[in-house]
Amino acid sequence: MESTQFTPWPYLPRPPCESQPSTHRSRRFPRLIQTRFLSKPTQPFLSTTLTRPQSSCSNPIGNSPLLRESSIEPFYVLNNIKTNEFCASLTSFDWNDVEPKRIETSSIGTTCTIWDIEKSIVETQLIAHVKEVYDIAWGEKRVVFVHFRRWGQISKSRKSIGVLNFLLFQAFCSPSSVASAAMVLEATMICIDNSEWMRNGDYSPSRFQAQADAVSLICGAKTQSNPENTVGILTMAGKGVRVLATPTSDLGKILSCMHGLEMGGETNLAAGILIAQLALKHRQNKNQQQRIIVFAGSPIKHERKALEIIGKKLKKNSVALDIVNFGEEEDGKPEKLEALLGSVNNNDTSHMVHVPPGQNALSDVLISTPVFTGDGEGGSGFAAAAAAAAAAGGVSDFDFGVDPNIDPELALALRVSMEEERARQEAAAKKAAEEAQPQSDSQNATSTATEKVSDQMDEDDLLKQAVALSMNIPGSDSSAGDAQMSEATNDDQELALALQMSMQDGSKDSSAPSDVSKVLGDQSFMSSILSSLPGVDPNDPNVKDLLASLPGQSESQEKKDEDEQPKDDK
Amino acid sequence: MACTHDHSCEDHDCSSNWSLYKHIDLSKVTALNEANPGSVKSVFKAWEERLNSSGEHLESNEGDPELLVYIPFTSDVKIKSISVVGGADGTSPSKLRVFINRDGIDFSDAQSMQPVQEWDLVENLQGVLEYQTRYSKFQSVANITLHFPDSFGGDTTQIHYIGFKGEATQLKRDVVATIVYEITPNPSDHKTRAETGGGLSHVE
Repeated sequence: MESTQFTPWPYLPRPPCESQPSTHRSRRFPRLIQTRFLSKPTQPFLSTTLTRPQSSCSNPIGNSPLLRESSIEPFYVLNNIKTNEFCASLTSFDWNDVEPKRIETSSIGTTCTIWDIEKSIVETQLIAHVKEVYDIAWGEKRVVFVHFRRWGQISKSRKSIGVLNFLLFQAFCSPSSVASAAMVLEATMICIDNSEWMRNGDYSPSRFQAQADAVSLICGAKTQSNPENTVGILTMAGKGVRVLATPTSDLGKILSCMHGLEMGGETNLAAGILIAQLALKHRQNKNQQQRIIVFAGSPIKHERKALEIIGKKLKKNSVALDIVNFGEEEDGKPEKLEALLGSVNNNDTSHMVHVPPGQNALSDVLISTPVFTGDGEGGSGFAAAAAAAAAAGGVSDFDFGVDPNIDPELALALRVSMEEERARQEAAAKKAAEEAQPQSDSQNATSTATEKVSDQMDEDDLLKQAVALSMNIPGSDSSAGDAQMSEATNDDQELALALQMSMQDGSKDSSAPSDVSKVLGDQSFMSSILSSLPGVDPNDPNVKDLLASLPGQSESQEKKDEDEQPKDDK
Repeated sequence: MACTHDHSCEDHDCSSNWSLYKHIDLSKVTALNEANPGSVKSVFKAWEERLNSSGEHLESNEGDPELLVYIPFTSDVKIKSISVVGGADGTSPSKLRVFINRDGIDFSDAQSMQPVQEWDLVENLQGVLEYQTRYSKFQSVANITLHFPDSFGGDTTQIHYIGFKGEATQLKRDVVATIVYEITPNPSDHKTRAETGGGLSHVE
């Protein structure tokens, strides 16, 4: 932890201060952590309070601020307690080098928790230990923890809230595998457009090649997310609809049949979809959900009515349909496809993605859409890895600090966590968002992918905002109403930012329900937090108003106004 | 063939006869063309509650009264008769065709295949009608598929209750090994060689 090249959060330096006396025995503690002790060592809940020393100088990114430890004030309170005040002692704590907003703690309550301190929420809890965990640390690719007698390791290759998909516990506990949630058993038929229209080069290197790349990525993603998934391919143009591969889980077979495909003829969309449905009907494992992915690159010669009838038939047989609209832009094509999607869609299992021609490769754009990531439950590791590779290519505005070339697992863990953040921040920030969209426009056009786009914007804004704050730039723009933050002093800014962000979470109950959101929305808890913060008087009428307005609120403006007040009271 | 109860149900213990619903593997029940996914599970309940439609019921999509319900049992059962309670205003199903021990039937299969038995249904809003089966064909039923091709003129088909009368055997038709993943592995379930003494012959 000594030398990090990347510190996006300037107020998280690692000064060589001595840690306060506490019961944990971690030696790498730049921060002071108070732990509360428990009467019974069985409670897995834990609470930590992160404090930071006050510093009054301006901090450009990358420089650790000088420590002037005039006072210690709580910066974040990370609390996972649901019912009572007690919690198990923490034994160890570690910062994530690459993402300093992530920390992990281990406790004698047999659990380890990974926190997102910027949001003051629990990201994941690892509950599979049966004894106390004495130490925990982030490794390059794995998290290492020390159990009572042996070392265990969990891989960071796949992170998703609530999913103990760390195949990790194999190493630690037993040879039997761990449950992997979010594995939808699915049989997929991919309908490829190999008509004359695909010779066009507006997608690099050619439309057809871009399609082929996307197809191979999809196949990989599906088989990775569940080994029992099967994928089949058929071509819609050429001499007629031809099934190249019936649904199989053999990736090699699928990729090899993509070779030597010739372009020509005209696409027959209706026949393609119907034959895909027939192929799915004869799948070997009847337990698999049926899904068809269509690449609609050429103009559609069918009537809207005919497409709707097909859609209804698919819906009746509970087949989901994903449409990738790219290539030829024809009048009426989007409407026809929308009509088709509307008649198929049953509970949002079907999606449509528009990909306009441009810099970004077709497959890169598709990676972050529900086509790859399923119904938003969390993508496969493969998809995230590919996404990380795309990010390195400059598609994303973020600098992860660790390139996927060096450490793909880590990069995709970052990517996945980024996406999850976006999903959470979408609702609140979307209202106040007004700035240009840095991401590709294609994603904005889709119904289901817009969430991810605005979340990306918000993430970007938050980063900019942090940068601006650290540089003490007044009037830093962007979402979630930080405009008023600029008026405050530097010190208060950051504290208010923390408060505000934690309150934002409280207001996002509808869009991103998490336990901690509800906790933050809980008045009594908020008042206890506020009372523990120095300078905030819980009896202050402004604070009371703030608390009263917390549950279910969605106007960030109101919060900011009241946010200012308790700050000024200091 | 239908018969009505010519006695009052409180005296005779009708409820215990219709207890095959307990042997239905509810998690694997599926229906095709249902308007609300998962609503099919609400139609399998105890006899006393057959008219209690305060909860959900099974409804087909708008404009299409065809329904297909796949019901697996937890063990092989013998079915003596079937009872179906439909909805009002012509939304009751008018015909019933059943298929035995076939997985993965969809509408085109159902329409083209010869059913094991079929009945013309009557509007049975009180749930007192039952349809007897040819018992010899329903001796070891591991799963049953009910196909309701049409309704009594309504736009959709509604089903509030499906009941089976018969008896359950303890046999299972075929045992499929299911893979169980442990969510929280318990080390005490998996003793290592060292912990069990490291004998020469050790089966884990």
